Amino acid sequence: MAEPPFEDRIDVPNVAWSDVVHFIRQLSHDLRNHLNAIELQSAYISELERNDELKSEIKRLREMISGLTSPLQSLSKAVSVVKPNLISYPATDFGEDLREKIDRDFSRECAEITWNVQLGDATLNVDPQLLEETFIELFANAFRHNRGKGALVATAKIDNNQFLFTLEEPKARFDSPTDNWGREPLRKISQGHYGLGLNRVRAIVEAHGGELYAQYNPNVPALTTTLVLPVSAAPSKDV
Amino acid sequence: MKTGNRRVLIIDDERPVLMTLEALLKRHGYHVDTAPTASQGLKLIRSKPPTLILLDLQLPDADGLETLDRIKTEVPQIQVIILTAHDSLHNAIESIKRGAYHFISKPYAAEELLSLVEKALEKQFLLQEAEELREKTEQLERRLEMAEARPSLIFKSKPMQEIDELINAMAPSDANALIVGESGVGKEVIANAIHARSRRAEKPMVKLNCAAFPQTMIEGELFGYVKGAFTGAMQDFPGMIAAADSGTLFLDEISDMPAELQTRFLRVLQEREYRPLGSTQTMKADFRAIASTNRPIPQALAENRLRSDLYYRLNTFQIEVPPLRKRKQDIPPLIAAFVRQFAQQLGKPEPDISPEAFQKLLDYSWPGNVRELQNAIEYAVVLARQGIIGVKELPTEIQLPPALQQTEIAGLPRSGVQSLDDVERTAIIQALAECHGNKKKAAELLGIQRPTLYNKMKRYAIEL
Repeated sequence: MAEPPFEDRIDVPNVAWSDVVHFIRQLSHDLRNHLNAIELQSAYISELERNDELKSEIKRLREMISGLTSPLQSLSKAVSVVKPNLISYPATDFGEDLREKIDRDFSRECAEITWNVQLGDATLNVDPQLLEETFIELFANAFRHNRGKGALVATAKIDNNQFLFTLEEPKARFDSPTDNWGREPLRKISQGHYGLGLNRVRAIVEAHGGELYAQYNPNVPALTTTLVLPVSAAPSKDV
Repeated sequence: MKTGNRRVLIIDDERPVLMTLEALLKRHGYHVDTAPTASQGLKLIRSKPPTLILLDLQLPDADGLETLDRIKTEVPQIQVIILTAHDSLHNAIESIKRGAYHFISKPYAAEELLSLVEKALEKQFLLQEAEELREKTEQLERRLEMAEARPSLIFKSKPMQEIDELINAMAPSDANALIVGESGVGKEVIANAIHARSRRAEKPMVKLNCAAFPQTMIEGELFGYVKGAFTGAMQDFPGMIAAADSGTLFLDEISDMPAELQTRFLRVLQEREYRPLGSTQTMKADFRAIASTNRPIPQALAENRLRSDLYYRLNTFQIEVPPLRKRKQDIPPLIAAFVRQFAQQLGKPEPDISPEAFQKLLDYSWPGNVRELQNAIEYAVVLARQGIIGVKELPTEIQLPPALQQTEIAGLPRSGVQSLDDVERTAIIQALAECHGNKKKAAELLGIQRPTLYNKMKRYAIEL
C-alpha cells in the first residue's frame, strides 16, 4: 500500500518547530564542516598527485562536493535566525527598487506582471535586503506552482498607515488551506526543495513587525497573498 | 613578502578542518598555528603573533563575533578572515563592521581560501609598509624641522671660527658647558648648536631663564613638584629636569639663580638624581647641562652670584663669546642672514643696502650685540622702500656719528675730578647727541654761537 502524502499523515511526532529548526541548523552546520574538510583534503591530495588522470578524477570529486554545497547553504539560510538591520526607507523608493529587482530576476516572466504601485511619501523602517528575499520567494512561488492563465497583479499602497502589498495569482484550483499561511514549513518537499521558503518569508515579515496571509477566492479564481508592514512614524530624513 | 609576515593562526573547533587546512597552508609556504578554542587562540596571538587569523564563528568556549572583537582590541593590525558554516547576512555584515577582512562560507573551495589568504596578507604587508613609511616620513619631517630650526652659527671672524671648532669637538660628549658673554652675543645660539651637534639632538632641549622667574618659582620650575607641595600646587608638575630627560638643559643667566638652589642643582649634577618638591620619590636625572651668564666670571664669583663649586662643575668647557664690536668681520654675513630672514618673514623681496647705510652698520659699536643688529635689520627691512635700505631706514642711534653714539657717551668718565676741557668736550658731545648732530640746535642748547661750536669741535677732535 502506497504511503499517503506527507501532508496527510497523522503520525507526525509533536515536535516544536523551534526544535526542528535547531536540528536542521546543526545538521547542516556539521555536514558543511565535514564537507569542508573533504574539499580541503581533496585539494591537498590533488596538489600532491602528479598523475593527470587521477588529478582529473579528484577534480570530478571536488565538483561533486561543490554540488552539495549549494543546497546545504540554502538550507542553513532558510533556517537561520532573522535579525533585520532596520533603516528608514522611503516607500516610493522601496517600490521602485522592488520592481527593478523583480524585473531583473524574472526577466522572462516579468511581462506577465501588472503593477499597481501608489505609495506616496510614506517611510518604511525595513531591512531592504532581507525584504527583497521575501518578494523574490513570493514571485518565484507564483511563477512555479500551479500557475493559472492571466497576469499576476502586484499592488503596493499605503493603507490605514500600513504598507500593503498584495500579489494576486490566477489559479484554477487551489487545494491547500490558507489559514496558517507560512506557518506550515516542510509542507511541500521534493528533490532539492524543502518547503521552507514561505516559512522564511513569514519569519522575515514578522521580524519587521508585519503580517503575512493569503486567501484563495474560487470565484475569480485567484490566490491573493498579502504582506503588511508598519509605516515609520517619522518621514525619512535621508530622502 | 617577508617570511615573518606569513604566519597564519587557525581558530576552529572542527578538527578535520583544522588539520587539512593546516596541511594545505603549510604546503603553500605559510607558518601555521592552530587552536581549537577561542582562549587558546588568544594565548597564541600573544605568544606567536600571527599576521592573519582564520576564525570560525562557532567556538565551544566563546562567540566568534565576541572573539573577533577581542582580537581587534588587542591586535587591531592583524587581518581576520571569518570561516563559518552558520552563515547569515547578519553575521557577515557584523563581521565586516567589526573589522574582519572577509567572510567566507563553508564549504569553500581551497583555491578561494588560498587566494583570500594571499590578498589579506598582501593587504597586511601594504599596511605595515605604509605604517613604516609614515614613521620614516615623520622622522624625516622632525629632522627637517630640527635642521630648519637649528640656528646655524653665522660668522667670518677668527674667534667665532675657533668657537665653532670647539663646539664640533665637545658637542658629541656629554660634558657640561658654560657660555660667557655680554647680553645679545648669541649665548643661546651657541647652546642650541651644542645640543644640535650632540648625540642628544633628537631629544628635547629645555631652556630655563633664571633671570626671568621670581626666585621663589625657579625651584618648582626646575625640580617639579607634587600636588599640594606648596600653596597653589594644584596638580603634579614634572619640572624642567624631567622635561629635559635624555636631552639638554640650558640654564640661562645661571648667576641669577638663588645660591641655595645652586647648591641643590650642583647635587643633581653630581649624583644624577633629584626629588621633586613635596615628593619622597627620587628621580633619575639624565641631561646635559649648559649654562650661561652675562656677568664676567671673576665678578660673579667675587660677588657670590655664582657658587665656585657649581662653576667648576659647569666649567668643563667654557666658551667665551666676544662682543660684536670685537668681531666686526661677522657683521656683513649677519646682516645678509637677517635681511634674508626678515624679507622672507614679511614676504618682501630682499632689499639691497646702500653703501652709506652699510658703512653706518659697520661703524656702529653694537652695545646690544647681535640681538641689537638683528632688531636694527628688522626695523630697516620693514621701512625699506623700493628695495633699498638707506641710512634713513636705520634706527636713529645707528645714523648718528660714532662720536655721538651712546657707547661713546657711556664711555666718558663719570667720576673723579675732570679737567675743564674734558667737561666742555663732554657737554658738546651730549648736546650734539641730543640734537641728533644738528649743530645749530646743539649750539643753541649750549648757549654758544654756531661758529664757536665748530671751533670747539675742531679743538676737541669731535667728528661727525
